[in-house]
Amino acid sequence: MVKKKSIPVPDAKPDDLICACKGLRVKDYHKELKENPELSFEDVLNKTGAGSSCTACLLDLEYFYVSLPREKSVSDKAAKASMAGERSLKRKIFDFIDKISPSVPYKLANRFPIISGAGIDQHIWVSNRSLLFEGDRCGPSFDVDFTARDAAGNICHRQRLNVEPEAALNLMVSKFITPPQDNSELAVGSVEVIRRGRKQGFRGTTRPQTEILARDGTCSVHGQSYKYPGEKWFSLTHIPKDQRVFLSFINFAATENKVTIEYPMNVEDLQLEQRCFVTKIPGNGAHIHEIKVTNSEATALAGRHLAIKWSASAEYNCHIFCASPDLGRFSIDHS
Amino acid sequence: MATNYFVPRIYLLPPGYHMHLEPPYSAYGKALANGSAKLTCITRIVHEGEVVKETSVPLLYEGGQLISEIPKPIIWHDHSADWGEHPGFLELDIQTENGDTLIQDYIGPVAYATYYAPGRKAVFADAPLKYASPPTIAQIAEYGRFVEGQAIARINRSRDYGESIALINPYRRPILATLAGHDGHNLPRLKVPPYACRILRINDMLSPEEAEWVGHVQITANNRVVLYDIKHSLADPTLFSHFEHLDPFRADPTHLPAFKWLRITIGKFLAKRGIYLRPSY
Repeated sequence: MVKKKSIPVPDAKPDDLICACKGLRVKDYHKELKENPELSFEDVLNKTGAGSSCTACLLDLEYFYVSLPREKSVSDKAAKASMAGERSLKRKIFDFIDKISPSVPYKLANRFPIISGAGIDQHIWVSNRSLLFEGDRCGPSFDVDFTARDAAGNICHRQRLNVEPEAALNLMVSKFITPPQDNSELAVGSVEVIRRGRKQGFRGTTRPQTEILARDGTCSVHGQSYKYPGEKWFSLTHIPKDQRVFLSFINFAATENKVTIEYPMNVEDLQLEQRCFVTKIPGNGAHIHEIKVTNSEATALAGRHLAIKWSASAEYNCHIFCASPDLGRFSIDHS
Repeated sequence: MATNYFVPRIYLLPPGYHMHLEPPYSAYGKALANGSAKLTCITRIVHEGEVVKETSVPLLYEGGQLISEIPKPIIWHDHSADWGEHPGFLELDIQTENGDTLIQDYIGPVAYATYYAPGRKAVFADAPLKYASPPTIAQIAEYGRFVEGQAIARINRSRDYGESIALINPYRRPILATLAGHDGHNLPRLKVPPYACRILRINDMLSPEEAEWVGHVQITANNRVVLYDIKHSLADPTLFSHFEHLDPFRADPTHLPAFKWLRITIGKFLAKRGIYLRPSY
């Protein structure tokens, strides 16, 4: 049970107006919270109507929500937050069964693309540090399972490691994927990272990150779960002489995943040719596609984004890599 | 909870780069209660306590589709020559024109911006929310403190790897922030004035003899502050490799009741087959 630390409330007087649109004063808000300490922040907004009109007061409402004293502990409040308001019979039954059910560790699964190329090292980090490194609020010990796969979905490395409180795991994953023979190209694979807390606690800082070290710079991004099949868009400013852009796709399904990539989109007025690439990614496999536009297309697109559309037939995730032309500097983003 | 607004998103306007933003206008229509509304898209450029520029564009939706003209891209050219060392920021604020509470998902879609400059590769960033970020609310409720971190920061003098944290204060009160490394390195407390940005250079916490540092940094502040991690050239901090929001210190539990786990598993199984169940309240 974590006890909330009190936060001083500067210049807060009972008659101070918090939400001008609803005429809500500090004393009214305080009364609401004292009488209904189990209400979540959103429930208080719903009940009072505050913060829903001009929204300028939302930060203050949130600030006072956590700082005004209430009689019940934060843990009680957090436990009951989801039970706030009117509950249906079904909800009440679910909540009751949840209350008597044994706890099981939540399987926290993320997958990252692995890119392999000349002078590129890629790592996965799982850092389990306490709040502000003060030692008293840290995630518990976690089991972390790593499974690296090549583009065809074949497992090329599997390992279980443990990350203790106040420690960090670092696994170099680029070595599991054979680099392409041509130094100007990239090969792709994927790594699955599954975390399970060994005992009950909170996740803290353990969300995995991947870090790519290239010759001239680094980049990193946090892990993500999968996206459901369907259509997705991304748009960017693309100047081909200054950069190269790649999309990676990871197939989360055990069966083939058909990915369709189309660009440039929304260019009817420019009369540019729209291209369509269809790839069938094997089960648990990965694919990388370089976005290529001609110089004349880039000139026509000056001042507007290059819009890209893709779709997948099964669960997947997609990352966008933007590199300098010589692949010496990278950035990575999830879609 | 239906609202009359999408939570504003805050974009850094760093020196050395132009910004190009095309908000996903078609996606906003999907968040409307009945698919129809008159929205106003307001962009504010803010620097050192002043709103430098504000524009407002009407958006008309019917049946979930944007039927008014697609607005021109939002483009902001590098102002480092005028602005000096402190960056500015852009606030993207979309709300209903007459205050009607028609927006069902007030978090709204992600809107990536591209940062570009001649002779440099671009970097992309999805902007943090100005307020109402669910993990941050959970964190403040649980710990009573605002803490965000970057699990992997890296300084390497020989390889020219540098890293900085940009702090944006889009609120009315000044914010005091501190940065700490996992091994005792830290930076002095920094004041970020209202409606202003400041940059913390992580290499400033190292002594000149320390050639390399790899580790975890956390930032805390006396109030919410919008944070970006920038990986850049150490010699030229305006030459970026990468740009990313930070991660809140998570209060989410590691375990859950077995019955809830079963429900989630069934929900995922069905969702993979295109069947989406509504949560029960």
